[in-house]
Amino acid sequence: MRFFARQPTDSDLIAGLEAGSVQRRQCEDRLYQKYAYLIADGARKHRLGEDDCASAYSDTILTVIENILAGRFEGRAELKTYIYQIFTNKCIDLIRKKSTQRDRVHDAISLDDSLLQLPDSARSVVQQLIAQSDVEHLRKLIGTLGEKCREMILAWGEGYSDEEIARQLNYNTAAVAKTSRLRCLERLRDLYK
Amino acid sequence: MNDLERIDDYFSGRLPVEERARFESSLETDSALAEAVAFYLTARQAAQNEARADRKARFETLREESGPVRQLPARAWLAMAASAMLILGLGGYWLFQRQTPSAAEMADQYIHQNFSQLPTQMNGQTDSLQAGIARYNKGELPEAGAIFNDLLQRNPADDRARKLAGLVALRTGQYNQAIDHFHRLSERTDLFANPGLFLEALTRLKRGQPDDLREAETLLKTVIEQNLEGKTEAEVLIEKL
Repeated sequence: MRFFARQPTDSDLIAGLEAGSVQRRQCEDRLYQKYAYLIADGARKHRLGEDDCASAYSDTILTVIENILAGRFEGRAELKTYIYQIFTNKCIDLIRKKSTQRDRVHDAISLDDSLLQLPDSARSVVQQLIAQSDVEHLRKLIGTLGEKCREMILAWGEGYSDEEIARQLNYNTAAVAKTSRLRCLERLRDLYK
Repeated sequence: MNDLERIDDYFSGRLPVEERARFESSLETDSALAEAVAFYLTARQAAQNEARADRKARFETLREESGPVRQLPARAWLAMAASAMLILGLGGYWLFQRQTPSAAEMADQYIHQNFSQLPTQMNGQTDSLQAGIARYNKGELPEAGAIFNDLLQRNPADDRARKLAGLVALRTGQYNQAIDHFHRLSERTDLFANPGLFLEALTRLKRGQPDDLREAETLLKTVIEQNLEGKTEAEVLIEKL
């Protein structure tokens, strides 16, 4: 452990993110803090408000984390360069949104690769049903599940395994965490019906 | 196995091959199953969006806590360096005052980096100590402190509870209590590794009472001389005093 290093190295941060659990959360925060100077930089270069830039920067870090965890960051560029490029694109998107007044232009549902696991014929059936679903309503309902269920469902949404969920939320085993998670999901479905 | 469990197993790759094929063909004919799959995937997307919003809020809090962060251009760095030299020349007396802010800052940085989150046991056991650590990691420090103090009441020789109770006291600004815990910990001679002295020194740097800096210096020197836990960090800290 590097006790007095002012900033952790990028490789330490990537390893920490991939390690999961509590370490992942710490590394997320540290990654955010490490390049937070880009907010002021972006505000100056793109003539955006600092709050707008901060939001774009948060989105950038979350995207970078998702890409690292999904193995989409291959380390060909330095992490700083990678973050800078994504952040610049997000700032430009923000300028476009502001100029076209289309605030929610990029907020369409982007389901992950799970759908691709389904064979073509089944996928189109499921896709049609998903198109009729109300994600925002489900988001609100997640908030009514109670703290423990909410934490569990969110951890699942973030891609934590049942082993990690068990450790974070003090369940005895991954199997117990899985059963509880599915019960919470069942309750969510009952509320959604 | 209910439908959600079967769907969960399918998307987690836990269904055996034959069962997978059966699942996929049922999807085309069983509308209830298709609806359940659509719900499952939409719920996960909703959970992902909600988690993302939570993390954005957490980042926003970090930003507010740390204030505006700016990377200065080279000219500004030069100007700052020149100013620093000037300050060094004119204000040397202040820089060499015994209670330098940099020592307290270093202590702060160390505490933030190492004691904001504590490692939890990987075996999934949930005893009181682990429950206390879980509370601690959630930032529920008074509750965590109550658990550790309760453990100590039942067994005053519990060195882990002693250390954790001290850390809670340190992080909640109850420095006298923290020093008491760490001092008692340092008196134990039966431990393989004892961070008591180092933690007491750290707490004294934070408390900053008149004799604390001198005391902390003495303690850090002892940690280094006796090769106790925290030696490497003590060597860095002592250079700043």
